[in-house]
Amino acid sequence: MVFNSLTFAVFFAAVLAVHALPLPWSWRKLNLLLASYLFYAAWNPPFVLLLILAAVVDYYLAHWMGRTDRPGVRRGLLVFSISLNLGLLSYFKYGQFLLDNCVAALAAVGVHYQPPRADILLPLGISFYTFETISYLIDVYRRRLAPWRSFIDYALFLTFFPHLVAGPIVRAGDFLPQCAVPRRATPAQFGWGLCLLTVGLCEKVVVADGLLAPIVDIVYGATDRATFADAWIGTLAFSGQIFFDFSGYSLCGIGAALCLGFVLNDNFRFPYAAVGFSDFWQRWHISLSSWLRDYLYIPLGGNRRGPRRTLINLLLTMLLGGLWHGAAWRFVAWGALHGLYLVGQRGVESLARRWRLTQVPGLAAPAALVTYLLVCVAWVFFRAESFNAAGDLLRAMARPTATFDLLVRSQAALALAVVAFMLIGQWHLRRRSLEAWVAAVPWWARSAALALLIVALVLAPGDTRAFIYFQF
Amino acid sequence: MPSSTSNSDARLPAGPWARTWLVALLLAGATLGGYEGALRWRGLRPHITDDAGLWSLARSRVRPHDPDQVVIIGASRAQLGLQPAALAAALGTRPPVQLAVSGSSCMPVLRDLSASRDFRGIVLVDVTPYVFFNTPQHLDGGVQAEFVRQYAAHSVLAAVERRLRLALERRFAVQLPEVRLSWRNLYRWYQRGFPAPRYVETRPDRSENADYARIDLARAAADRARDTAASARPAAPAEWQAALAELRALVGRIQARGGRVVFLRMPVSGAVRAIEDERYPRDVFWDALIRETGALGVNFTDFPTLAQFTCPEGSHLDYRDAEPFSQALGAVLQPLLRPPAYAAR
Repeated sequence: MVFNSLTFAVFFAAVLAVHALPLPWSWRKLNLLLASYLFYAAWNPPFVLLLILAAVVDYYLAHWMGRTDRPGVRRGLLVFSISLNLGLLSYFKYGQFLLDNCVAALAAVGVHYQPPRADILLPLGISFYTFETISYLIDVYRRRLAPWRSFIDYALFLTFFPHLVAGPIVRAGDFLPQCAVPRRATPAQFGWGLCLLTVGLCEKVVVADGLLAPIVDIVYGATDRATFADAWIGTLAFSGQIFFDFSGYSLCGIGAALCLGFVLNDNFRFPYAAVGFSDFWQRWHISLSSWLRDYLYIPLGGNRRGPRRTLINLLLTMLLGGLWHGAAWRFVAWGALHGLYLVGQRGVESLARRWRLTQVPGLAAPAALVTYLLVCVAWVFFRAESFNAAGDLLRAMARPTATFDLLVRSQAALALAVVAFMLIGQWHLRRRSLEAWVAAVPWWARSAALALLIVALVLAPGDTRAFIYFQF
Repeated sequence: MPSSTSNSDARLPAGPWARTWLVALLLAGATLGGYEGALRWRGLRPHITDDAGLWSLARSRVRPHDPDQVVIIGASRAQLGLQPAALAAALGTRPPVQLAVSGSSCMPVLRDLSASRDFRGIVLVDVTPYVFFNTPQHLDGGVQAEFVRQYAAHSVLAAVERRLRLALERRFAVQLPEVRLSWRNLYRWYQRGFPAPRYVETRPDRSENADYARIDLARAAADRARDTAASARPAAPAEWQAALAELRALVGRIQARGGRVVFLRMPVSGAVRAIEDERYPRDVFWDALIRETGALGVNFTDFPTLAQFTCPEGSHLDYRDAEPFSQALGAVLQPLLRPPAYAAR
């Protein structure tokens, strides 16, 4: 079930209605848990069993870990549980990828082996809930979190439908305490939650799918014919499409949770206003980047083991971050490029400090623009169907011409207008939160804006597309 | 370890949210209501979008193991000219399932029904010569192949979603694709003006009503004749023999399970009929089809009650004629489909 469907509207209304009934808190949590399983089963019922299995196994392993004081046993349980979770993730997500690469490696040394295709179906959201359960297990191992008593709470943490399929990646420490006390949305939470849901749906349906996706599809569907202008505009449009698509999904999830009285983490903070790449990763897919920081980069040593090791840690973290997105070398290349950007940024920053450029006023905006353009270059690997297609586009992007072969001028103007609006808006709000900005708007203006969004949503073209991050 | 948590009450924008939402909904309702009123004032009416989802809903209504289940397949002539309710009344069966799709070959659907082991009903196949008797590539692929593929992957959730959308499409003109606020529509409105009311409308059972009183008939007839002439590329003898062999196998499988297949040539008129009769000689194509497949055949030219109908633009029946034509066809089909006396014993 997707947020941008009528089925979800009916489902959500039913869940809200039951949640509002004067029932004991445990019953209402059970309602949320069952609703979450239904939400997931609507896509592929058998994979609900996998979700339940993950919850049961990790719940009991965490309790076992919590009960024992023997370091060896605790470490063994952690290694076992992480291996189990990553093993399932690897099988479903990377099985075919590994097989294909083995075949290619064997072929390279003259051994021609052709196994039958595995045709493994990727369970929706497995990358997200695997990371959530791993963070819980590590926190319990580090004794930063006590094993949670209630299995229903733990299962709800893993399964809660607003974040289940495409995040934000929720931490047990954030979510589980919220299950301890009965929750109903306050009027402010409900009102703001519905706002976020509406804004998120508009970002997805109106902007990402309605305005930008058709332009992106044209350019990335015929990369060999793309001119300089086609390639750049298609890629700028994709930068907008993926932002509005994923940020829209996150806002819907956060808004839906808030309507039920639960608070989820922010996942985006005006990322295209970032000045530099470390800033970018503190604003883009925050729940993933903070997860990688806390559970991968810092355990690898972070920046505490000298400059060379810091660079290696950065690169490794970003490579794995890229691979998390998809079982393809293109995603690894995308992650590697961001790793190199982060490494390069350190060099640029040390030069800037030496030449005392950090105090020069007016450099932030050009730096943000350079950051954005380099992020766009990396997006080419993310969106292109193959390395050849990415190569076609990157070559076109490096050969300036003013002509179009794939797009017409009105499409180019539309894409540029949307992207310009997005960049100016994000730059304007880069030091503020959406909440703070809306708080300064009078109620009647909020009403008018919401009415406009609802009308836009109802009159949107209605070409339904899956959320981009569903594939991860 | 908690990460940063936002959206706590302290951060939420305060204000009179109930009033904010009430006014927003009223404003949105008024705007959409105004647009709906303006569309209706211009003559636009709610319209059901005929897509893979609607086709899948219809396909899922095909009852297994039911010898009286009538399924209509084919192209636009069947979709516009056959009304399931009228046909059902004449045949004395439940309403047939309308699976015909405009502008495409029905071979993928015939293959699908033939391969469905639990299908034992009656397939009414609209034989549009320039689709059915054309070169083989016209028989494959196309929109009906895609519909069959999507039906195979059709889920309960997709069915629920389509039913909900259907409920909106039946009630609101603002659901019309051509009046939505897309960039493509804005560009079209700028170039050609705001869309005029449609002369064809889809009904929930997927049959379509064409009101030819709403269009310039002389121009439509000329366009249709030109399109027919351009599309009519008869299969070469070898290609036709290969197609016949496949059709024989498909029909044979359905008949072997107790099902029946009726090939139907819908009425055509004027220049379209002249082109079809000339390019697709009856003895080479129609007669061979019936003879080689062993299926039943109803050619409108053989039945005065069917031949009396005229297609306003040459190729399709007007909605005013669709109901009487369906009744007349039912009357023709009933004795043909009646079980033979020995079977009744």
